[in-house]
Amino acid sequence: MSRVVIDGLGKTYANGVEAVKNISIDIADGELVVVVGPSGCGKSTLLRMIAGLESITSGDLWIKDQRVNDREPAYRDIAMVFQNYALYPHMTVFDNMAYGLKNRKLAKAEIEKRVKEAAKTLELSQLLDRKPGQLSGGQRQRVAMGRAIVRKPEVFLFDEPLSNLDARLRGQMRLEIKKLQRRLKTTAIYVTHDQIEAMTLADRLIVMNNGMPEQIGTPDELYSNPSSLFVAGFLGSPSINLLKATQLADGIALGHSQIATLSGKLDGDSAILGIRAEDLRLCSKEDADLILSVELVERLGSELLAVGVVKGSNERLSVRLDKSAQIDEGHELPLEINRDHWHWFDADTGLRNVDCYREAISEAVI
Amino acid sequence: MEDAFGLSSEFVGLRNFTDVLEDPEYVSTVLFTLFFSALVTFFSLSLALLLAVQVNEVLTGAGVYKTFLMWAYAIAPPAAGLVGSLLFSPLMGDLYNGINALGFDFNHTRDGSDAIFVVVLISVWKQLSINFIFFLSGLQGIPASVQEAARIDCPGSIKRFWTVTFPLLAPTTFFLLVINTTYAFFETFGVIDLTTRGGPAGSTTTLVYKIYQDGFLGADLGGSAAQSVILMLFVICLTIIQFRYVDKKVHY
Repeated sequence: MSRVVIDGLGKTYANGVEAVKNISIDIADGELVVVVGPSGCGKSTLLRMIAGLESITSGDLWIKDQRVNDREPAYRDIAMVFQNYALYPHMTVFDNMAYGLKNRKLAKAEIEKRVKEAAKTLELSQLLDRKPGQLSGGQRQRVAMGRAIVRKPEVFLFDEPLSNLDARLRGQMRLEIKKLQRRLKTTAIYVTHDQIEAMTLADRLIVMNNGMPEQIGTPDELYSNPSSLFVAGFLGSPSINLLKATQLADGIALGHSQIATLSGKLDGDSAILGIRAEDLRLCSKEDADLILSVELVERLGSELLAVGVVKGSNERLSVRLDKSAQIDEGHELPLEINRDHWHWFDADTGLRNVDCYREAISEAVI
Repeated sequence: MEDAFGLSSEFVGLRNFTDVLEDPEYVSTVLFTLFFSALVTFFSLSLALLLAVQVNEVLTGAGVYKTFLMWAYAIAPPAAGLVGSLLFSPLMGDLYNGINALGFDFNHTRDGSDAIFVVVLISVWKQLSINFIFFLSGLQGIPASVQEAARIDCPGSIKRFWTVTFPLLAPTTFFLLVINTTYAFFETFGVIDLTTRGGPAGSTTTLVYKIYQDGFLGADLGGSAAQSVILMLFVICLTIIQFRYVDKKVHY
C-alpha cells in the first residue's frame, strides 16, 4: 500500500552545503515515523524533499512503489501540516479545507461531505464560516490538520505542527494526532525537535545529526540501546549523565577528578560511561559507588528529580528517585550505579561500544 | 464666477460651467481621459505584476533586475516625456523608424490613435517601476509556507496565482489602483506636453491638459477654473467609488 521508501536521499545546496546526507529508510504502510534532531540537523529539509518543496540532489524517493523524485508536490499524493499552519488568510475555514479538493475536481457533494466529516472529528463544525484571522492558535492548528485529512492522502507530513502551541494544548494535540493517525491508518512522517513528542508519537524514530541519521529504531530501542553519545544525550529527560572513565593501575576512575572507582578493565585508556537518571539508585553507604550532595530537588508529583554534584568534585549528576524519598537540598545521597543499564561509549568516536569495559571478575576467572 | 477677457471681468453665475459642459470638445476630452486612465492603469498594473512575479521567482541576480526595473522611477515625468519624444521623433526617433520599418504606417503627429499609443506607452513605462516595487514587496509579504501549502493543494501554477497569490496581493493592488488612476489623471501632463501637446487635433488632450491649454494658452481663465472644479469633483467621485466597491472585496 502506501509504503514510502527513502533510498540514499541527499541534498546539496548550490553553495556546497550538504543539508542531508544519504538517508535510507523503508517506511511501512500506516507507520508513524518521527524525525528528530536539534535545529539545523536537516530534518525539515528531509521532510520538504519528501513533500517536493525542495529538490532532491541524490538518491531516490518512492511513494506507493512509484518514484516521485521529479513530481510536483501536488502530484505526490501527500498532505503537509506546517509549523505556522500556512492557512489561506483570505478563505474561510471551509474553503481552506476544500481548496485542495476543488483543485482536484471532486464533486461538490463529496467535498462538502468530507469537509463536514473532518470538521466534526476536529470539533470545527461551528467555525466553518470563520476566517483564520478570527481563530485561536489551537483552532488554526486543527484547521491545518483538517486540510490534510480531507485530502485522504497516501502520506501525512508534519513539520513541527505543535511547536507554536502552549504546553497543555501541545500534550493534548499530540494525543489527538496519534489517535487520528491510528484510526486513518495513513503513513505519516513527523518532524520535531521535541524529544518527548518524538518518543510518545513514534512507531520508529530517526535521530538526525548534521544531516546524517545517527540511529533509526523504535523509541524503546533508541532509549535503551543508544548507538552513540549523541543519541544518548538527545533522548531522555533529564539528559543522561556522562562520565569520563580512565584506566588506572588498580581499576577505573570515573569523572575528571576521580569521583568513583570501579573495579574492572577498560579496552584502551579511556571511555565514556553514560548513566540515565533512573539508573542511579539509593543504597547504603558501604555499597555506594559515589556520594551526591544534592543542590536542587524537583518534585514532579509522580517522581522526584535530584540534581547535585558529586562530593569533592564539580561533576554534576541528576538522579530520578521515588516520590516517597525523604531528601532535601544539602543532603548527601549514597548512590549505586545500575550495572545492567549502563552505556559505554568509545571516547574517541562517541559510538556505543559494549566491549569497552570488562569486569574484573571475569578476567580473574580466565 | 468671473469671465476673464482682457483686463475686465464680469460676473456670469454658473455660465462658465454650462459652457464647459455643453462644449462637445470637453465631452470628448472627458471620454479620452477615462479611456487613457483605464489603459495606463491597466497596463502599468498588469505589466508590473507580471514583472514582479517573475522577479520574485528568480533566485540569482534578482538584485540586478530590481535595480534596473526601479531606475525608471527616478525619472521625472517631463524627462520621461522628453525621452519619449526623442524616441518617437519623426526626424530621428529610433522607435519611430523601427515601427515604420516593421511595415506599420505609423505617425503619431498626424494619426490620433498612434498618438494615444505613444502617450500611453510612455506613461505606462514611467509608472511601471513604482508599481513593480509595491507588487514585489507585496509578494514578499506573502508567507512562503502559504505559497508552499498552495503548491501541495493546487497543481496548476496559473490557477494557484489567481486563487491564492492574487487575493493576498489585493490590498497592494487596490492601493496602486487609486494611485495609478490619479497618476493617469494628473501627472501624465508632462508626458503629453512634451510628446504630442494634446494633438493631433485634441486626440490626446486629457482634462488636466485642457485646463492648461484653455487657461494658459487660450487665456480663458474662467472656463479653465470651471474645468478644474469639475475635474476635482470627478476625481473625488472616482476615488469614493473605488473605496466603496473595491475596498469591500479586499479585506480578509
